[in-house]
Amino acid sequence: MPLSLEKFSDAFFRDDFSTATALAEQLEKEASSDEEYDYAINCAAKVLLKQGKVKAAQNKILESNDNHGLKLFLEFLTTGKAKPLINYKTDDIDTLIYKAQTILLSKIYWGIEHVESIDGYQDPDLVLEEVFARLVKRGEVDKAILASVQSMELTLEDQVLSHDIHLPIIHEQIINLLELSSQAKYDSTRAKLYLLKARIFKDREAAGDAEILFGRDNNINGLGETYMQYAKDFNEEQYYEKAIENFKLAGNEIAQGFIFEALASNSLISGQINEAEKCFEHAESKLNNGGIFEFYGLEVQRISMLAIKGKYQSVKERVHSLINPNVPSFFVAQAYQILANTMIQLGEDIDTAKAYIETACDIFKQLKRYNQLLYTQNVYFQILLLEDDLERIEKLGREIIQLSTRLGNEELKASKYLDLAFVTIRLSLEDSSLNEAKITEATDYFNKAIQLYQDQDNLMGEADTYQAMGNMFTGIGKLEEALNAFLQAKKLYNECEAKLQAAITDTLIGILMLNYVVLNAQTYPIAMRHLETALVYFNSENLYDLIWKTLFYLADLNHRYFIESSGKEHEETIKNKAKTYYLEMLVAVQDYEQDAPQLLASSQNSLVGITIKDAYNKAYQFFLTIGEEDIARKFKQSQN
Amino acid sequence: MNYSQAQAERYEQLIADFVKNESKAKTAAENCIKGLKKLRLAKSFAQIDDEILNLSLATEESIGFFTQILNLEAKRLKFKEEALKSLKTENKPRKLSAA
Repeated sequence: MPLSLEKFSDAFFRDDFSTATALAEQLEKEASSDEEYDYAINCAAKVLLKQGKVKAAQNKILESNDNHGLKLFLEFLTTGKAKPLINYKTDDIDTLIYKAQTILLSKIYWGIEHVESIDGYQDPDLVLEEVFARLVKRGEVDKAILASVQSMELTLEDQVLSHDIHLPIIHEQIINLLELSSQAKYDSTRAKLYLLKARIFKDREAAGDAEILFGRDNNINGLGETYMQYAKDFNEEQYYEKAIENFKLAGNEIAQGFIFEALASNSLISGQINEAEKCFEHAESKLNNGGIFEFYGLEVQRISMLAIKGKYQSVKERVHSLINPNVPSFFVAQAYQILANTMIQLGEDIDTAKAYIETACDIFKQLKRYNQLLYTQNVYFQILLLEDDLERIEKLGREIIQLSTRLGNEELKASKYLDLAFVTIRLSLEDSSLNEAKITEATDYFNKAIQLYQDQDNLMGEADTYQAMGNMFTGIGKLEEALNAFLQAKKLYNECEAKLQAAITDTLIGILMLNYVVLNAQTYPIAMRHLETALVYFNSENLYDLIWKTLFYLADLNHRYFIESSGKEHEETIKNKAKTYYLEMLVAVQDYEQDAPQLLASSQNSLVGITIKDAYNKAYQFFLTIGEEDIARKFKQSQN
Repeated sequence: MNYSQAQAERYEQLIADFVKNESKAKTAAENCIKGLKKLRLAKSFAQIDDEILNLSLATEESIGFFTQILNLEAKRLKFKEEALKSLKTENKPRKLSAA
């Protein structure tokens, strides 16, 4: 091998992207034949691909007249078109690896039927098996091992029901590969095996070994991957920063993007919406250079973010523009799921929402994405709970229990106890048989769920259960029990710093006091305190939908207390508070509607919570009552 | 990267293990190819799991349904036992280091 080629190989396998790029440029300059030139371009494109700069890699490879395999692979990664590569006949090892990966990815994202429709009958694992044997025979052990690592990583995305069969075989395979790696040239190759072992078997020591081996190879990118794993798989979140630093130094864009995505997701879980948005913007700037999977993955997250912020009109527009035949089915299913949720939030046709969610379930089932299927079936279940089709509710509930048992998802099993509690109460309400025995039965289900969550040290799950319990007790008029359950939920949410959920619980407490409790000098301040606490948080995170609703509840609370306070000393103060909150609500609704001009019309039949029309009617009545007709008219005008 | 004393020692151990394994590399390569075949077989066999799931999702509870499920479960168990047995006899897991 010529010296510069050997140097390139050293830099490439040790993820030293800047050196590899410089050497590829040198090879390009020194090329004295078409063959050498094409090879240099191939080297440069491969480095860009490893850095996650898929589009740049595609532009680079187009400079050469050869390299059809890599060209077609990059075409697949940027457009999703797999057929040209699948039908490309070749014996070239690199192209066979690309082909196998293309078939595997297509199966995961589009499904087996799509792959067969484009003649993807070749078994990718068989292709990789043959490639592996050829590479070992040629002494290219590093490449053989890395191809195996990639294939095992993709296997983990798939076949989740059979992991109990796969995992022992994969474990043995990793041990064999580690033995084989004694013949590998680079410590980085061995490190990647340890990293895979750490990821699959949650083996922290193996990750530590990867760090040592990457360090010996001065592999900054590999160290970044190890730190990312410490943070993601072993909850050592302090390593995120170190991982970002390393990826920045290495010039790995895609990995930086994935870290910011993880940080955005963590911020969302803890209710820091603004922080999540910032992280997401960083993720966007890094992943925009990626291919089709990064593009649609980002778009789905963008839509989720809009949904969380209550910008439902934008959600609908973006989902509709996302759904087209070229988009991988996996992302379409996710979009359908968000759309169904949005329609429910807007109080739109529930049958259409059900059709969307059923389609999402069908797609996930076809793709064998069982974890996603389970989650979507749960959303479907929640939608069914809004209606009275108890037979369907029970049937779907059974399906979810079966699937969660197969997936060993204890958390979901616990959540099913929650649902069973709801169904028990619902069934009893339907046939008017609700009695103390039924309430005890439902409470037992809640307690079982709480016990399961406690066994798993899952504070969030426990908090969610208490919140659901509070909702149920509110619905059947057990107000003291409801209040206790909500307070317990809030305590737990605060313990796990879940600010959004804690604020929602505050709102629920406020609504409970507002709707079911006689307002007096004791109860009114409690309701005020909880609603105001929630409002401070919603304002800080610009959650427009929740802001106007909470302002309405505050206005309504003061409106009602004003009526109760007739002739009393504080009457005027309470009246002014109601007035202020109604007017603030008017402004908040206008802010909210700037994003969604059609919301007022579409939310008239909202099944969930208050509608803008109802809120305005109440405000109108209030201002008429206090003789301020001019202001009352503002609420009438705003409805037209 | 600055190594701690423990990391430096661990590196020496890892390298010693790799050197020790050099003589086994040929067998390891053969075992890897066998492992790939086994993984491929496991994947094709995993269709049984999809079948079981789809059956249990689609079929009402009846004796016929349970018989089908039981047959498939038995088939699956047999495969799993065989796969694990062959792993134990062909490839006894080896510890890579004394640590």
